[in-house]
Amino acid sequence: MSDSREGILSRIRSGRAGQPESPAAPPIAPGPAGVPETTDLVDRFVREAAGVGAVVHRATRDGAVDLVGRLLVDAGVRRLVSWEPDDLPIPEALDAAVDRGIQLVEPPLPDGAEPLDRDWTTMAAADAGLTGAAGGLADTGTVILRSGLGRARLAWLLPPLHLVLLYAPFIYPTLPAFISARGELVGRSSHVALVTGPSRTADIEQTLTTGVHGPKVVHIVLVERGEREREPVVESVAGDGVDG
Amino acid sequence: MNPQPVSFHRRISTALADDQLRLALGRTTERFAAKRAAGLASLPDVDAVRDRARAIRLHTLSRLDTYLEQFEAAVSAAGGQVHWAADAKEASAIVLDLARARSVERVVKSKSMVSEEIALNETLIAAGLDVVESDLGEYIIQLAGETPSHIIAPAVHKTREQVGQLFADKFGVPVTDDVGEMTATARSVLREVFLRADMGVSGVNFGVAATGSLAIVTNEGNASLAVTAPRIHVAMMGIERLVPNLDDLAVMLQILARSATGQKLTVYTDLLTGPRRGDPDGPEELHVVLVDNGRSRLVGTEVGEILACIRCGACLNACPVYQQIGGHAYGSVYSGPVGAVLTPSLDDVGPWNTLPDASSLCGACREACPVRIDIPRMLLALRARSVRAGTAGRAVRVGFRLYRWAATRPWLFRRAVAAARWLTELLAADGWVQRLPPPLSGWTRSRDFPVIASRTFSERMRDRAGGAG
Repeated sequence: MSDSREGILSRIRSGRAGQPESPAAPPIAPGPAGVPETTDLVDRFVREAAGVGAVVHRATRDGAVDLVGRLLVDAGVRRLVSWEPDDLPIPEALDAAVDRGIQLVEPPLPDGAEPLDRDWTTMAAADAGLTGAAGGLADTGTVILRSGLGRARLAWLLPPLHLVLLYAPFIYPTLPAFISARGELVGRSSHVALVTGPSRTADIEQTLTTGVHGPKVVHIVLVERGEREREPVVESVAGDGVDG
Repeated sequence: MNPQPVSFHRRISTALADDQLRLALGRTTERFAAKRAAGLASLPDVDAVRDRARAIRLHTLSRLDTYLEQFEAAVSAAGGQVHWAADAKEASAIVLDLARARSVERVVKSKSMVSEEIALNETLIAAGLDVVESDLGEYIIQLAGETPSHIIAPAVHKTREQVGQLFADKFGVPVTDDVGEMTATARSVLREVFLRADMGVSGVNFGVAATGSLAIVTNEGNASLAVTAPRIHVAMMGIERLVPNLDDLAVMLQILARSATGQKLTVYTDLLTGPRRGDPDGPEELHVVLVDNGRSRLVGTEVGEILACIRCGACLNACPVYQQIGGHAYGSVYSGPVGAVLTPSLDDVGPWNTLPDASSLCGACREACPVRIDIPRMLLALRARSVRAGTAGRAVRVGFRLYRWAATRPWLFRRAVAAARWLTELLAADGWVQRLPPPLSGWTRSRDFPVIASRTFSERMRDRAGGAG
C-alpha cells in the first residue's frame, strides 16, 4: 500500500517537473461576493429560505418559546428527538415542547470513546427533530448545523419534520463570509452540515419531490434580538413552493 | 473500464432509434441547461468567481503531491485513515479488506462516480456483501440492472412510466406514474437500509488539504444518512479532488450546485472532519481511499487540465451530441464531453479512440464549464494521439494520407478539385449532393454535401494577383 503511495506521488512529481507552478488564487474579500452589507440580511435570509421550501417564522425570544411548542403540536408531533437544551439558542424551547405532552426520544447515550450500540429504532420513531443553528447564510437561505456532544446528526436527518432555531445575529451574507468568520467550527466538529431547505430529489424526469430521505418539512424559527422591549411577535413566511 | 463489445457507432445508432430515450433526454437536458443559466445569474460577479474557481483548481493540480501529503496528515490528525490505491483493483481490494476485517455484511452507498469507475459494487457483491445504492436515481438503475447515464442524474434515460412499472415489479406496489408516490416508496424501503448498514460508502466532492475535511453534497440527504448511521464510513476519492483550504472550498461550493442543477447550494452540504468524537451518532471509523487509476499519469500532459473537472455535468447538458445520444452510447462511466476526454486519457486511447470524435468542436462544453476547461482543445489532442498511435479508423488514416499526398502537389490538387467539381455537379440536385458513392456514402446518410464552387479560392486569388500585377 505504501508502494502505491510512493508511486502516485512520484508520478505526479515527474509530471510536474518543468511545469510552472500555477499561482495561488488571490482571495476574494468575503463581503461583496453576495449580499451587499447594506441590505437587510435577515430579510434576504427569510426570502431565500422560503424560496427553497423552508417555512420561516420570525419571533422575539419569548415568542419563540411558545411558538416551538405550538408548531410541534399543530404538526401532530408526539415523539421528539432534540439536542440538549444548552445546545439550543433558547434552552426553554425544549421545556415548551415537553410541557405540551410531547415525548422525548433519547439518542443513544454517548459513552466517551466506547462504540455506540447503533440501534436506531427508537430514534427512527420520532416525528420531529429539534436543533439549533450555528449560523445562517442570507444569500442561499441555509442553516448551519454541527454535530457534537448532545447534538445528534440524526435529529436533523431522520424525522419527517425538522425544527431549527436560528439566532438572527448569526446570519452571514454568504458561505465565503461565514467560512472567513467562523471557519474554525468546521475542524472542531466531526460533521458540519449546511442545510438548504427540505430533502428533495428530481431523479425521475426532473420532477421535484420533497422528503425523499431527510425531512419533508423544515421549520426555521428565527429569533430576533429581544433588546427592543416589545410584545412577543411571531410572523411566518412560507414560499409558494420550491423554486428549483 | 472495459469498453462494451459493440462499436461506438453501433451504440449511437441504437440510441438514436430509441424514442423513449430521446423523449427523456429532451425533457431533461433542456431543463438542466435553463436552470444552470439562472443559477449562475444569481451569483453577483459570476465571472470573477469562475475565474477564481479555475485558479484554485489549477493551482491545486500544479502542486498536487504537496497537497495530497498535507491532506493525508490532516485526515490522520482528525482521527481518520488514508489509503492509497494505484488502480481500480487495489481500490476495491482496500474496501473489501476493510469490510472483511470488520465483519461488515451490509453496505449502503451514496452516489460516487469514482466507485462506478472502479466497479466497486461488483467486487463487494461478488464477495457476498449486501450493497444498496441510496441515491434515488442510482437505486432505480440498480434495481433495473443498468448503469448510470448522467453524472448527476443517473436515471435520466428513464421515463416516469418506466420507473413506476419497475417499482411495481420489484415491490408489488400498484403501478403509478405519480412521482411523489414512487419517492415515498423509495423512502420507506431505503430507510431500513440506512439504519441497518454496517458500512457507508460515499464519494467526495472536495477534500480540504488544510483540515482533512471532506465535502459531500446531495439533495436527498442520502449521503448524510449513509455517513451517519453505519459504524464505518469509507469515502472514495479521486486524487485530484482537493482544494487547499476552507476559503477555497467555499468558492467551489458557490459554483458547483449552480452549474449542476441551478440551485444556489445543494440541500445537504456535509463537511466531515474525522469520525465521531463523543457525539451521539456518526461513524466510529473514517477511511478515505485515494484513487489514482490513471490520474497521476495525466499531470503535466496535454490532457492534464481535465483533472480540474468538478463533475457538475454542465458540459453534458450543453453538448449537442450528448443531447441526441445520451450517456450510455459512450459506453464508459464518464459520458459527454468530459467523458470523451477523461475515458481515453485515464484508460488508453486505443479502445476508446472514437469517443473524441463525438463532438463537432462547437465549444458549448467549454462555455458551460464553471472552471472553463478547454475540452475542445483536448479532444483535438486525443484525435491527434489516436492518429499517431495508429488506432484511428482506416478511412481516416488512408484518407488523410491521400489528402496530404495530393495537397503537397499543386498540379495534382488542382486536377483533383476539378474532378471533384465535375463529379459533384453530376450527382447534385439543386446545388446539393444527397448521396455520395461509397466509401463516402456514410457522410451523406444524415446530411447533404455542397457542390464544389465553380471557382475555387486559389483560382480567385490567382486572378486577383494577375489583375494587380
